[in-house]
Amino acid sequence: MSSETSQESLTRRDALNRSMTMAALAGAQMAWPSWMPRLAFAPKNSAQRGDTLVCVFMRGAADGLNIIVPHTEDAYYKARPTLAVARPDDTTVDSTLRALDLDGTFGLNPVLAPLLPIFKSGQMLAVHAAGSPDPTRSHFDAQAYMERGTPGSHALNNGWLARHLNTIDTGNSSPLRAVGWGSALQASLTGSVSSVAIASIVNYHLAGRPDAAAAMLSTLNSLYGADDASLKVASEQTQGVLDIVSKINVAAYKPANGAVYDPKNGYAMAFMQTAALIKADVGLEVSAIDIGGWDTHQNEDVDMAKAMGALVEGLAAFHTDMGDQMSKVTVVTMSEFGRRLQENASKGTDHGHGGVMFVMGGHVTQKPVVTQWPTLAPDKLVNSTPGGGGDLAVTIDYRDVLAEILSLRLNNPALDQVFPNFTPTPRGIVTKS
Amino acid sequence: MNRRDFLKVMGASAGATAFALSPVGGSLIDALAADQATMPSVDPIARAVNRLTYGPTPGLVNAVKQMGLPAFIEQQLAPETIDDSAAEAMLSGFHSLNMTIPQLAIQSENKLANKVELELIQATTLRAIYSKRQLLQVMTDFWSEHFNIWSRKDGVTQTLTTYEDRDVIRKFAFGKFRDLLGATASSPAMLDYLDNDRSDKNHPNENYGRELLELHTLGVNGGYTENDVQAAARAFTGWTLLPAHSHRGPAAAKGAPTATPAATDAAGFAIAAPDSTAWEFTFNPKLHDTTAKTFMTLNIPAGGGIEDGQKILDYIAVHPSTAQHIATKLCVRFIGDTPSASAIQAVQQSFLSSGGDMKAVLRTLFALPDFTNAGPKYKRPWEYVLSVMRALNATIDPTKVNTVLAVLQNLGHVPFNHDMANGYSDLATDWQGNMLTRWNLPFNALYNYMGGVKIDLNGIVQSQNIPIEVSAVVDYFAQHFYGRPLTPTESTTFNAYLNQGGAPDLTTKAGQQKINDVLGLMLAGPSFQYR
Repeated sequence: MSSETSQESLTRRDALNRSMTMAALAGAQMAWPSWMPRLAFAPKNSAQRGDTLVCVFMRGAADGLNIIVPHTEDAYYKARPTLAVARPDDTTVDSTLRALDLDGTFGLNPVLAPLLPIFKSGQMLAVHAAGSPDPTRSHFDAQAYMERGTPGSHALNNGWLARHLNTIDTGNSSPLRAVGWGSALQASLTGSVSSVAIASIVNYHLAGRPDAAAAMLSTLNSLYGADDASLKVASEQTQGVLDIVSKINVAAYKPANGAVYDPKNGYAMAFMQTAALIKADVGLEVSAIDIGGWDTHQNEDVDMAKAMGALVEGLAAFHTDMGDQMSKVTVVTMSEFGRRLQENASKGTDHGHGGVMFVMGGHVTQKPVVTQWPTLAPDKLVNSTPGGGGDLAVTIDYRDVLAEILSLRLNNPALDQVFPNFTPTPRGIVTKS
Repeated sequence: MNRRDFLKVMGASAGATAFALSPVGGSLIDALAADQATMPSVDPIARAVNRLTYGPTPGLVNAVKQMGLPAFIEQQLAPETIDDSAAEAMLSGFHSLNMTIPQLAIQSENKLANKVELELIQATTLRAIYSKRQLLQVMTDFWSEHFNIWSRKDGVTQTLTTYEDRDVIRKFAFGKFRDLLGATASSPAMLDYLDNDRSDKNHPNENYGRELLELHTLGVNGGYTENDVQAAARAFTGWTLLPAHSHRGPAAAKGAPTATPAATDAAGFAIAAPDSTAWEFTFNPKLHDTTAKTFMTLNIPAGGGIEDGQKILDYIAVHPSTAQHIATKLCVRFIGDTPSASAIQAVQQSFLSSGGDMKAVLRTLFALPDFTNAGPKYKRPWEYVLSVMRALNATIDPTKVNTVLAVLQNLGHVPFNHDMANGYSDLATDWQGNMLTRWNLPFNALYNYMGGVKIDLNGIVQSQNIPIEVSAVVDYFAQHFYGRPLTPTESTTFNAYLNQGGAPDLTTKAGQQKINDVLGLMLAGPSFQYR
């Protein structure tokens, strides 16, 4: 198997890692639905090129309460007798099992310890009680809403990152403005011609005989050069990506500053390839990475440690590798919703509402946790059940976080087109320079 | 390909035949100018076959010529007269295809929804490639997208889309539109997908009512108002699903932890109780809004029940706006992205005069000069992938069809996986992006890099009685793939490829690889992106 189309079997894939629908290139733009915006034809806004945005989607609904632990909340410890992460000063458990205090109120899950120095250096923060305002508890629905940037609506047929790319002209004509790592483009990127799904740079090439590839591409170029304008453009874009990718020797890539990416960790490899593209200066503006394994209905202590381990490995190695160049990078993470406050009978947690986002970069606010903490008091929980319990509320719309990053770090002046019918609230997450 | 066999075939001529391929010469500009003057015309039968089917298999166009296109169309419109046992035999391992609604429901309760959903997607793909009832597959796809259900929405749609596909869409694909519409309206998968199962007289949910008018029937400019949407939503209150096995409502059953796992059969599927009615359609009068309603020019008196919704279906199923909406979509599918007003009108008239009889409507459409002379229509990923498999007469192991699905997934066109109610787009502009996956498919197929997919070029050459010489082989595949001979530009370009480093010598591996490459280039090239 040596090519992009020689995929692993579908059954090997965790359905939640990547809903098959995430691949949907386009929704219908039939002649009649007049409600569909024609953003592709809206004038672009000239903008100075800003940070490279690395957008991480934690698929499966990550348990924000065990990632950034509200260690001063008694309700948290009552609701999670077996799953709660111990208080930072709880000497009854081993020190490696205690939350790592961030600000006297919230603590980092100890599995995420490699991120602590980044928090301490002021290059990382968590946004808590964040998420989508839509109440759905369907993974697929919630992911689709979140990636479209339109909670509660399936009306738009393109993603928020695609609309970002489509609404600004940074003078960057690279065919690799955006890469979605995986076999299919993320829904957040669908609808942008300068986005491409790449499972692995090393394997991104024309199939067939390697020694004939140049001649075959040249032949395709001749054939498509004689075709109508639209396919000619698509062909040129494809050839452009192949040309760039062929010049990047990822196999020989040496991470800087002693960073180590585990080659067996696909998420870490997506981070490494992102770093390679940024350093090769090929015009990468957006990188979308998926991390699965967060749907922890059972044995959450074991399963989420694995997911967090994979995440932290990629994030920490990327931060080390990028070094000073983090000043031109912003990383943001999200998940479709959080999980219920109460643990269930299977040492897991069920679908909830509010969750946690991370923001990492050279220009994040010097504050480890940004939140409008709703508390875990019974009357502050949402979806509460008669027997007690409920979900953490969402008090910061995830679009507030994204809009602030797009505006201040990627210089997008057209937030009303990226997030239609939404007025973002400034949350003080990143700074302009 | 099987290089050894191909060598035998090709080698027989290699010694005797000088490869009389035209020499490379002239600039591309000259070639383009020459193309304008000498563009070979497309065989109209090949063009029709490309639209009535998922693409010609070797020999199909000749077979249609022998029986005549009108006879072929009539045969395709009577799928029950076509023996399709070979294709159906490939599906014998997919046990969920024949399950009843309660049987499907219990799979969802036992965490087998993914398996059910995958079997439907796999079966749909295999049928599209191998069924001899090709027009039925094409129209099933058309209606499936028209009455779109996102199978990934939840455990109900993941499983009951199998019922929807079999007993709603496929069953009425050539029937009366009113019957099809009625079947979708009471289909549990549709009621779940568009939230009508969560609608009641106190909290009418307008999702189904709106899409029923905007997408399924009248069209967005079909003459209805917001009041009509609300009236439709109220009329359909009470159309819902019977509860699941565990006596939890369907809403509670979705995503909730399951009860004790049921016993399983030999195929690993759960066994439903024989008297189960889980998730069957029901009309619940307690949820129904019985007040009087005005829908467009239709007055629905107070005190009604299930007939309130049926009256609306009767009214909109034969409405001129519905006829125009369906006619436009059919013309876009079978003629091109911008069909003429006269073609749409002719199909609309046929719809109205036949009372929405789809066979009559399709006969009208296929007899139009717009259809016979239609220009190129860009293949969506679904059609491109299927047409490559069919053109190369691929043999696919039914247990490994995921190799093909992975390509569709990469291209964003897996059946039943479009989340929006409007279904996948039928317009070229929505599908023209990065080409690499399209380019790679034929090369991966021809070099047998796709697990479970086998190509036997030798078999095609033999079965089609192609003279054993390179130019004849190239000419055959050009006609087979494109429905016409090569243009001067294509001829020049492919000859340049074949002659690089000297004329191709088919007695050598390098020469055979060149032919293999050229067939791949023909399929990866722009002409095969259209049908």
